[in-house]
Amino acid sequence: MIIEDNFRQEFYNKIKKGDKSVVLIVSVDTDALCTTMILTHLLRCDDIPFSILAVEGWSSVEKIFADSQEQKCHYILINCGATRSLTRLQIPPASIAFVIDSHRPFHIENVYENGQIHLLANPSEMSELQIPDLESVIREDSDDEEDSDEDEDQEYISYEQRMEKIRRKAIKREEMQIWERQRRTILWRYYESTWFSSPSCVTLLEMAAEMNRVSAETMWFTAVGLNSAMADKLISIEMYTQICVDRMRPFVHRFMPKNIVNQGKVDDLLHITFGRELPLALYSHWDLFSAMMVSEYFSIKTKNWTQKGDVNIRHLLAQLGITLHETKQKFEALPTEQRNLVVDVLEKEMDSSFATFFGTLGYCGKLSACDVARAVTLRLEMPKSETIMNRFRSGQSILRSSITGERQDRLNLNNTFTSICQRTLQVSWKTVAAAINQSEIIPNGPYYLFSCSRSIDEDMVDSRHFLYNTAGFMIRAFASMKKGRTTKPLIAMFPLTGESAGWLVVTGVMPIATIYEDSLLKTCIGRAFERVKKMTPPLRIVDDYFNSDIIRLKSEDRTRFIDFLQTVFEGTSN
Amino acid sequence: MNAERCEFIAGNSLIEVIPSISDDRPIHLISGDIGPFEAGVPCRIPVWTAILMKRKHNCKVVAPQWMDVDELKKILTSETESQGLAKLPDHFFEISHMLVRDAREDIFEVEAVKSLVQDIYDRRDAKLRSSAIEFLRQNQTCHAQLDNVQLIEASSARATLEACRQMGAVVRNKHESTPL
Repeated sequence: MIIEDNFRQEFYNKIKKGDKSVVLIVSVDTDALCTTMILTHLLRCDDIPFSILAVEGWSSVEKIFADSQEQKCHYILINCGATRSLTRLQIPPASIAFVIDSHRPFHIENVYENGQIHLLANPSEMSELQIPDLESVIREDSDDEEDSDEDEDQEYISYEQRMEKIRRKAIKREEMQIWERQRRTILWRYYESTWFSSPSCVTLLEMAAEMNRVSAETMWFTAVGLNSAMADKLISIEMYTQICVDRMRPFVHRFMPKNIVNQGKVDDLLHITFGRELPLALYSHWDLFSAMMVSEYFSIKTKNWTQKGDVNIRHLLAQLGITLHETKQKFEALPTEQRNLVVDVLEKEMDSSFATFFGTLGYCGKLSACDVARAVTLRLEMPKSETIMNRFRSGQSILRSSITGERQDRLNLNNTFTSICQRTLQVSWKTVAAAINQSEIIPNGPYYLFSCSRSIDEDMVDSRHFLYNTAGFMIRAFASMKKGRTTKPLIAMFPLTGESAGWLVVTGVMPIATIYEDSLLKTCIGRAFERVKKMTPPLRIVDDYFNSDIIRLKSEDRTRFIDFLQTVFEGTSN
Repeated sequence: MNAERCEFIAGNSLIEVIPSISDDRPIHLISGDIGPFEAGVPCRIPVWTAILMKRKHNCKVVAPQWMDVDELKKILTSETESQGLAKLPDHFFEISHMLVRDAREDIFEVEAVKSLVQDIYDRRDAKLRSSAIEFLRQNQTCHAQLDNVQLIEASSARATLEACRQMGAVVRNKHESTPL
């Protein structure tokens, strides 16, 4: 069942009134974390006990369900669970599930399962979802059985009647087949591509606002969650801006410094401003040169992976009128006027309409939600050796430390920026540079194939943030080298090392031409992988991730996978 | 007796809040009824309830009159000028601490308030210390009078005085037991 509006009544009050225990099943990504922070804040306000379980794949969700078959729970699935049938995952019969997920499309069985599963969706996206009618996809099978019963009862009926019956049955079967065929095409169209809707935390913030429980902290969590979706390339800049304008505006006004009583004086309350920002990751915690080096825009513009690249960069800087001295030192160390000047110049150069949220707290420096989102994401995804709950907690502490003035917390955050975030950006750039320099990207029929030969930290390869960013960067860089490379998708393979050696992580991005057309960033890569998995002879593929376009593949099956994928893509394009 | 317990006791004093919820049924407690609440209409409830409600976003706390920068400055000057301790509102430090901790959004110029309260505390603490030393140093009389000591100050001074008294007993014991 889909709940479209009145989340407070339909969702929150039901949990509040219910006598069942509340279990939050949380996927490990920043949006989910931020949503959890807001929801737990609300639950704490109402003294509702809850437990949090962090999950990373479908199998762990299934395990949770299997372990608690007898219990009566209210499950709240955050950023997981909408795209596969929960009934088939054996959700405990006495429990009720609420799904707050930004993955689309919904699984059709979740949509039409009325009592147990509730999906929270925004009314504005219903037209985009195009959920097929109930009659066209699900039909009760009971009719046939009844018929057969009747047959046995009425054996004395005459020949004509019997003929009539057989004829009717044949017609029915025929109808059934037609219906079946139609159903298949309808479902095919429905599941063809996957995309992300607006981040869940925005929905929760609106619900909190309805209950009059918005504080600057919850607003900040939402800002970070929203920016993380942007940083992971889940939503397009158009959609991001639209959400900021349409749905975040009332909150932005509320926590602007000038609207708060202490005019002009510094206090240590959290203030949130909304303003323009360079789409240049982490530059304010780095030096400009390095930040520009690894940024998609400047890297592609100067082609800095080539031998001439370095000269190109210097040339560009000279054109912009920025001295090398300015770019090589820490950005924060520049005097304020110079900083503003440089930012202005770069903004004009990049011609972006990116704006983000800034949190200010007393005398601590301004933090942009975008940078914090990156830090939180990587903390959540990175040291895979840590248990999932520990990673979840460290992500939580990073998120909290962005809004406390404690020295230790700030140090922790800065460490994350300088160690993990910068490294990830650099590795991402190096991977792209190596791929293009050594022409590792090969056209393979209807798609481009990149198979990584360098060994990259296993941690990074397993992180969604890294995969999506690298693949997105790579296809752009690849297209920039020669004309006519915008119409084919790119499939990227990264070998895993360590414990899961012998497996490849496979992901893909849609052709650039479609990225520009479509503001939802729909992708059909996941669908293609699914079809490859169904082909015979079966390949050893693990598709446990919540994102269907990231899978694991056994290295020995690589060549066959490539061939299968080719047939699948050829089939779709025809 | 420690600061925490002082805060607990101070939690029972009344404070004005503006509830954002309506509830017709008052809460019946041994110490008296709390409520009923009507959204937007100020009422007086114990500080501990106010803080609980504040955490649940159910009310806005109206800071006490003395918790204003000008008022606090006045208190500070009178504290500086007077020889002994000046008179303060009941549970001054405990209530300021609780409000600054849990209801900082509702206090006007919270930073200034915080530092002023700290100043007042320091000044009084210095006076208390010096008078305690003065008291312990003399050996003729064994009583002293000090007015307007707050609960929290008494409890913090108690440990030192108690220790000194015992020390005195030990010293006296020593003198008495040593043969001349």
